[in-house]
Amino acid sequence: MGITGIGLKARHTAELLAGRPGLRFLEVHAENYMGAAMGSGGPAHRWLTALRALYPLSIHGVGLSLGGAEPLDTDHLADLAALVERYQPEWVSEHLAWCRIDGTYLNDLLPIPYTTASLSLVADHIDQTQTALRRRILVENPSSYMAFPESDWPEAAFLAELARRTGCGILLDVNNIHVSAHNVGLDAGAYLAALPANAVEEIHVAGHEPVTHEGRAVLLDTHGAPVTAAVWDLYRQALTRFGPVPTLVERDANIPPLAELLAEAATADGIAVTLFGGEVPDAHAA
Amino acid sequence: MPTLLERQRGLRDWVLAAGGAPPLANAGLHRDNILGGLATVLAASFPVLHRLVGEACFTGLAQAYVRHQPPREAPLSRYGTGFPAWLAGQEVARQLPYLADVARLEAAWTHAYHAPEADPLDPAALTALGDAVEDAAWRLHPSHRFITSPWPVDRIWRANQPDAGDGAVDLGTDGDTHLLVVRPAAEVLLIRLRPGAFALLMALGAGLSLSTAWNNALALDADFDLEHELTGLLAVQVFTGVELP
Repeated sequence: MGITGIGLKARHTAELLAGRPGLRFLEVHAENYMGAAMGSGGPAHRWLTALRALYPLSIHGVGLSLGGAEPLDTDHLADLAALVERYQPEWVSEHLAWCRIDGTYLNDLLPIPYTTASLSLVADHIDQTQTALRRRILVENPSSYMAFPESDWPEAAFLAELARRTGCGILLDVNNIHVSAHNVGLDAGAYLAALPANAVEEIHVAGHEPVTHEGRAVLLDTHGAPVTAAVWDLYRQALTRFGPVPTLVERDANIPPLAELLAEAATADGIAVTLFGGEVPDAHAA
Repeated sequence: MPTLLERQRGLRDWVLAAGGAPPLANAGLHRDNILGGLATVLAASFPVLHRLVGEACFTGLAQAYVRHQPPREAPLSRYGTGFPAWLAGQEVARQLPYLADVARLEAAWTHAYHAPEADPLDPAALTALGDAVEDAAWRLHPSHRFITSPWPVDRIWRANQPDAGDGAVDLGTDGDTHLLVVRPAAEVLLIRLRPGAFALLMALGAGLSLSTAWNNALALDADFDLEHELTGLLAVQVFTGVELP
């Protein structure tokens, strides 16, 4: 068994159930299986139940708004806790970002300025979440396009301090580091060095696309293209520092045939094998 | 410097307003992602509407609706519940008068798709009641929705599925179209009912007894055949229980 998983997409469900390729885990977005009056039944839950019997699961939240200036939505948190109880995932993760203000939900992972005040707020929200879920969560670094003049913490130091204060783990998205390095001027190598070696428990790799926005060249975190060579290089550096950490090949747009995703998963496993030895499962050699 | 709360309210206000200077460089990337992402969510929930009006028109409608009624919760499976009613007030719905009813049907389909599971009525429970069945209350599957329209929205819906051909839809009807949308198992069913059967099921769904519901059906359709219609409804497993009051 390798270290790599993929995101579960409806169009791949039948093929996964029939072929059962060797994958370390499947990841789903929590909100696709949540909702107060709806969301407890239907085909999506039937498929997830069947696949959960075959694979470990990672539940990845995109809507909790850990970085929101308003209190966490306790209904959302209770829904998330029920989902976690039902499917018993190996990991639960969320983002260092906000998406909700005055009860309006903006479906994006919006960055926050890194200040001592925002650090306390996010740490309180992580504590509240871990208490409600009765388990540790992993917190993911965002992709950044906007630079806040009031930020006085480097992002990596901010994440490291969150992990220290709350005991949460870190979900390291190396594509996001690469994208943010280009867009707002981070040093990717210094970023990896600033994180505690034992706090990174999952890694994401994904594709991005170069665009021009208002005359500036920007790398857009689309999850809609294959992983680039530069991101694989950074991934190699991350594994070298953090060890053979379970890794997700993340694709949420332009979803390719399953075989293509499995081939990308095999690339990640191949890098791990080069660094740490072991064998890549045949099922990945698509 | 603005506080975190001011930052977040400022970005929200700018994203949902049309125009004005961005609060920070590149904020437009987030605005485009939010509006574009929610238009994509609505297109996934209203695929027939999307096909009927086309990509450009749909995106314009969807983004206007997002600004009018942004989501109130992170799970987006229910987002767009209010879209058909809002759409009914738009110019395009005056040009295509069946459009809002097609949207209502698609919202019902989405509701049914995500609804909780429930076991179908056990025929033995029905038999055990004997003649008392006339006074019993019936429970309908939580996925069910009723749609009535002066347009043949089921024919419009079927003709605009991805695997449908290019055949024209006959918009003529002899009276209203009555539809039941329900998901008793894995598949969402779209069932056209005669007016009597529709009245019977509406009455049972409202908690009325079978004898009252039967009278409602007969009032609409003098030839209403209870045994025949009930057999058909039991076969599609729209009921989940029957019990004496």
